[in-house]
Amino acid sequence: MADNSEKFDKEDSPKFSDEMIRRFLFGRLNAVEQMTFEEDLFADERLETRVRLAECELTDDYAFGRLSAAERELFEQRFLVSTARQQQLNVAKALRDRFTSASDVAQTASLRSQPVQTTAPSAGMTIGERLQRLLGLNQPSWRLAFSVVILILLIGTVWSVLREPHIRNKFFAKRRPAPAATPNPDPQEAHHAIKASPTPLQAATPSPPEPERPAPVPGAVVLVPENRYDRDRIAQVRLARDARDLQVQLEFKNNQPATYRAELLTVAGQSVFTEGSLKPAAGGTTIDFAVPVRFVKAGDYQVKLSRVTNGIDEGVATYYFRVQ
Amino acid sequence: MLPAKNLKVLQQEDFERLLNWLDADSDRAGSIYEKIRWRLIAILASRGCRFPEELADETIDRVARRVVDIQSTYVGDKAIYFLGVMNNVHHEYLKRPEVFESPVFTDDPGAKEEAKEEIYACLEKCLNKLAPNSRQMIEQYYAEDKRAKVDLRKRIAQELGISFSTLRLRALRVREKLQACIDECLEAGRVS
Repeated sequence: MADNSEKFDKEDSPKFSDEMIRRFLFGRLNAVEQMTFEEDLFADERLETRVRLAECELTDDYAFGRLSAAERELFEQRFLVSTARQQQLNVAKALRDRFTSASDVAQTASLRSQPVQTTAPSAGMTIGERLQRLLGLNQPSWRLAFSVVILILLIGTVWSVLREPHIRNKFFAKRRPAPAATPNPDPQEAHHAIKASPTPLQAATPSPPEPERPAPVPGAVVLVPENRYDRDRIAQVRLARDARDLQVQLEFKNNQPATYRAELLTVAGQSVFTEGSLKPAAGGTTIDFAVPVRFVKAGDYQVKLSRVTNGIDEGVATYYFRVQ
Repeated sequence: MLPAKNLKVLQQEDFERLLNWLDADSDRAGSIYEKIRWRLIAILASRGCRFPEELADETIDRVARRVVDIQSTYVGDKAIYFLGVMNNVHHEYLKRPEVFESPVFTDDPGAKEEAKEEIYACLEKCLNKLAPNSRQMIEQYYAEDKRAKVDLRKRIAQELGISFSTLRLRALRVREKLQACIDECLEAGRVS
């Protein structure tokens, strides 16, 4: 196959790293990076080639299960948005099915030409697997014999229990269901019974009222991290008349110096605006940034705050708010 | 998607004028068109757009309609002109209510068996079209064993006398060829 892959291989320090290309595919570049990348993608054929190859590689990584949970989510939400990419994924899955089943054959063929086998056949096996292999316990006849023995033991045990009344009573007495009002807690809950399973009295006691959120100030909102989107308890903000920006302050737990990136998305996950290179305000527990009002309209939004270390984003907190 | 697929949204006359503006040679013009469309889709997807293909086609449609006015005076990289129009299209899209909708695509594990069979058949056809050394390399490269995969690929690279990253690029190029071949094969299957 004639190709010029060596040319790319030897290219001196390309402007965009492979990691940056992958962030582009995940929609995770900051605003400045995104703009530069887009312009270069239109002007630089080599960058286009690299992005095309990176698309293939990313799709294969997804199909072969090589992405983390967070990356898989990004892939599904941000990458898999065109029919061409869907088709690419179908082909990646076909490759996976084709070559996973043929992997032994392929590896054997490859190893045949190797003078030294670098990996022992049992490398990576657990002790249990090695014992099984040593004793030949993975043979079908052994499996059948063990199954019969276990079945006999099981029948014998049941028979003994039914024949001895004191054992039977003891056994069934312990299994009697607990009253419905006091559910049987599991061992972990038992140590924290008051917290984990409230008594009916506690359940009937009205919970203390939620702390009231401060009255919304037009054009500004202070957000605290939330574990989930709750449309009934969401922070609200009105856009100030004639204001150019919506001022957002994010509260968070800061445990290390770093730069941060805030991404504004709709609650459905549609990216609306991103601000990078953010530094915590004095005190280190809040981050302020401004969103041009042209990017927002009435609706519910989420803000994802990430810590950026060596170009890698690490999620810190998520916030939700409503623009009225 | 082939250029002809967009004829339903573009007037034939506008479309031909667009291709001619991109390049006088129709083959080269088709290739440039495909590249531009791919770039638009990649950028729109990266911006979080839910319908990148639709917006890319809308962009191309608008440019095609303007060619008659700009072709005699426009100076510079024509591809960049698409980028400017795309920004307008994307800006308008952000005001649309669909922006707030859930993602369109999901990874459907229960994809139709029939479609799968078609892809498998095309994969076999396309693998058979590869040069023997390319086929051997791709089979070895994709041989899946999570524990030993990195070692395996290093060994393949050593066998071929190339670096690990060159092997990766070569394999991905073959992978890309396979993708194109399978796309064509599936397209031909639909037509016949």
